[in-house]
Amino acid sequence: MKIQLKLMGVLKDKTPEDGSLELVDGSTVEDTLRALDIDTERVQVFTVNGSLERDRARVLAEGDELSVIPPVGGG
Amino acid sequence: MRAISLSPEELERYDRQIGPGVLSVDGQERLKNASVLITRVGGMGGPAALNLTMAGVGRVIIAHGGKMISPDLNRQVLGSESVLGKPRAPDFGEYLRTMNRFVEVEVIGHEPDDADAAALAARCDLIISCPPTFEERLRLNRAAVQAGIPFIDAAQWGITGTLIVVKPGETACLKCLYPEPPPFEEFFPVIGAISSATGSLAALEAIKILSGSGKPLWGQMLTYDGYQGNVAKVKLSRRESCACCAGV
Repeated sequence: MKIQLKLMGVLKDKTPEDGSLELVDGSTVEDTLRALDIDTERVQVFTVNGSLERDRARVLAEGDELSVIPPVGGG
Repeated sequence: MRAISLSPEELERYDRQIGPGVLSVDGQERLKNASVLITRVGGMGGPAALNLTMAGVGRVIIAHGGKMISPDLNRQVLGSESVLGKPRAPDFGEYLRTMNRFVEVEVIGHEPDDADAAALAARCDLIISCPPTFEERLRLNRAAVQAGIPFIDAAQWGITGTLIVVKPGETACLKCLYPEPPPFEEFFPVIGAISSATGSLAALEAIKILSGSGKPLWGQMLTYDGYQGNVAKVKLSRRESCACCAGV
């Protein structure tokens, strides 16, 4: 299956060229982060299709859009 | 008819922001009667404090410790090269005072600790949080939730900015989003334009909330990914087990 990705901030360079990623069916948010070599401990905020998702075990579906928002600060 | 507390000089000053689709006279008066804490007042908090001062918030309280260094000047609009090597807060406060004589500017030359934050929240109507560390941001969030006042968290990285607007007891708080402070480096790359944009949007949310104009972004996270030019709003849900706001 193919999903769409929006990786923000420090993660932007991990975004595939066309903004999409091929995954095996049944892949979860956690699987996707690992496939992208993203430190799963560091990232706590995700959205799936525009809605906040706290369950990293959520199974993604064909065409889903996963946004990953890494920690940001002030200053 | 109720007397207007704004002087003719104040009404002249705010002439361009009082009118249809912007602020009412009542809204402007509500701004005048409001107190806002902004901490810190660097790249984001500086523009936020400047915009609130120019808009006529009655009391603007800024908190920021430390001395100004050269790398600050890519984004800290309240400073200048003349402040380099000096404690920044007094100069920042002085600059704000030159921008609007109708506003009281209070300067705190350090970052609030737990007791400071609680005491400040008790005499403020709203907090804008712009510190670089999660420890400070969560401290201010806690103070606002305990005091029951609106809380706006502005954050940035590189050319991405985020804004979270909290109404204690009704919406998710910052702790709902970050139950544990994630690993985060205090010194990260950032460009001043995104700092200013994010800080200005934080000020706009504060003005809307305090004046009663417009629709605040209650319970939402606004992100602007400047790299891609994407804007997104995400509705945040409360965490039932939140150590900060559960039961509030």
